[in-house]
Amino acid sequence: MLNSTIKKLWISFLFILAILFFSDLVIHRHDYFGVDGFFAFPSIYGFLSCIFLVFVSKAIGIFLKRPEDYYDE
Amino acid sequence: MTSSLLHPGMILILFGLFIPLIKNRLIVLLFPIASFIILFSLDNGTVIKLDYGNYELVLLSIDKLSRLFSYIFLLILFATAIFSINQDSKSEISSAFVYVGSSISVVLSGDLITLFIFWEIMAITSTIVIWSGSKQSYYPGIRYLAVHLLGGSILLIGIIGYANTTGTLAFGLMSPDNIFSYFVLAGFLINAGAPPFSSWIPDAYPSASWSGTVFLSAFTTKTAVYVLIVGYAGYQFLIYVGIFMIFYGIIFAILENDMRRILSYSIVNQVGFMIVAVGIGTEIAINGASSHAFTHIIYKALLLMSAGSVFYITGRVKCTDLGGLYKTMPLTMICGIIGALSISAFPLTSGFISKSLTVQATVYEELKILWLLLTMASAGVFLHAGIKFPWFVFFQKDAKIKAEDPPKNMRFAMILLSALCILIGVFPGALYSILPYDVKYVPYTLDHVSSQLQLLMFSGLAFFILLKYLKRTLTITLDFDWFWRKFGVLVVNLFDTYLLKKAQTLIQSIDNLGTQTIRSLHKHSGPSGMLGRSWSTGNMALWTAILLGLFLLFYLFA
Repeated sequence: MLNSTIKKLWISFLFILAILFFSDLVIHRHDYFGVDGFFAFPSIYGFLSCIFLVFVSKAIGIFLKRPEDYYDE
Repeated sequence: MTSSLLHPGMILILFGLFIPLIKNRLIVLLFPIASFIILFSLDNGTVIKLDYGNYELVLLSIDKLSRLFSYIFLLILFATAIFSINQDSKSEISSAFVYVGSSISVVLSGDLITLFIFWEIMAITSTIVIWSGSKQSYYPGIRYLAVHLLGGSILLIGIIGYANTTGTLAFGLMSPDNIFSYFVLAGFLINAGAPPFSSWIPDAYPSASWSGTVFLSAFTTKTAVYVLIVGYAGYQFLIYVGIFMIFYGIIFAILENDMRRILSYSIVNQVGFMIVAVGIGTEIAINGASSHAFTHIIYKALLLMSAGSVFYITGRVKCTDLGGLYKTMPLTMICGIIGALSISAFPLTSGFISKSLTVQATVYEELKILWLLLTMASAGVFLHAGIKFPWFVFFQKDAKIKAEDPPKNMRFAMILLSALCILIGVFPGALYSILPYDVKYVPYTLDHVSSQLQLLMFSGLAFFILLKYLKRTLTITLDFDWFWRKFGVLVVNLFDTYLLKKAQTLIQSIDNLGTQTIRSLHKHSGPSGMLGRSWSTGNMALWTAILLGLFLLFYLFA
């Protein structure tokens, strides 16, 4: 029951993503800097940005993460 | 004198002091309304002045910008006062009112001395709000106070130096050629949560009570944004500070486990956006900074009310202990999601029509790199606050927590702010009309809406794909405060154990040397010593004769 709901949610999510990705075919996006005129630029850039940020934070975490009671006296 | 009693900020301070005597907490709700009526009745350009020696203090000076900030402060005080009706701690509510009253007084002040006085009252009263939380709030409160008193001292040095060198106390755009401007700037930036002191926000705010955190989230950092707009608009250096804060907030929030700390890191991130806008300094950027401050105060309070309700009902704050609350706390979840969508600047929410102004400012100034960074950060905001907070608290796994939506006053406050988030987003004209400069920008174009939706939805995709890397762990993340919380302690211990021991041995040996010298002196020259005792006359005569004989010999042979 729950699994089928999650499956349906995923399908509708992917459907929305596809519409947005290909909306660039119909909607003329105004480009200000050249690079942002690239096809589906916001989709690609948003996706890659998040992946980048997560891995940067993982890398920083290696050095800066400590157990919760680190500061307890 | 009668006129200064009708100061919208000072009257709140006065009211706040009487709160412990008031039994019916609904009466407290009248105070922000009274203050609002006073402020509303005063025209732009109204001033209250006070002669103070050679200087003139401007207790009140109203313009569009100070009015905007005062209105939002009063609005959020009103909403949080409703939210906190069932908060039993009278010290918290009372000090919160004095705190908000002094924030409004800072915003309305026209000179640096008045500003400084209320700035310091803010530091003290907000510390009391933190301490009202629980026993565990004591040390975070002390650290918070220490940072703010340090900031206050730097600010005071700046103000005194500035007044002495320029001969004026008036607070307006600060001269970039005067060295003391930068002391004032440093004092302001510490309150804004700028590096290296950003950690006071995630350290102190989440240790306040479930309602205290909501009070704290709105005022200190946003008062700092206000004074930065007035004093330092167009200082390019602020762009770099803001960018640092934006990415610091995102990265530390991704690594965090405590939901209220996640939202605190996100304050640093959002204030970063505003500081970037102040650094750009054009009309549209200043509109961006002030409208973003306005909408941020609402949705951040809403998010913290949602988190506060979860804490109030379940007593839990960690993502690892939470999950599945969508079933038992549906209203809290919906309001939390509306706050999360607003902070992520989804179309039809308040964040979309405010943050876009700042991003558009970079387009007009042709700042390509900055535009790319801000766009990346917008995706990152959705990642760390927009999805992470609701996902880990309300969905994720079913943590099987017995829970229910909070009491009706708390529900009402959340619904009120949710409605505002959406109304402002759907009808941006109202907010745009009270911004300091005229707004020509149109946020709702097909182009802009589609770009923003693409950016956010694909960030959402990234979140779910990377979910296993985002799993929370029972950890904290080190920050600059390590230097005074750990390194400082190490240094003190070093002195205490190692160096102090060395010093003690040294002192002991000096002491011993002294004692021995005295002893040997005593032995030889004391009452019974060879050189000290009394001699017989015969001996005396003999020794004198010997000495004289030697003297004669020397004289003869020399």
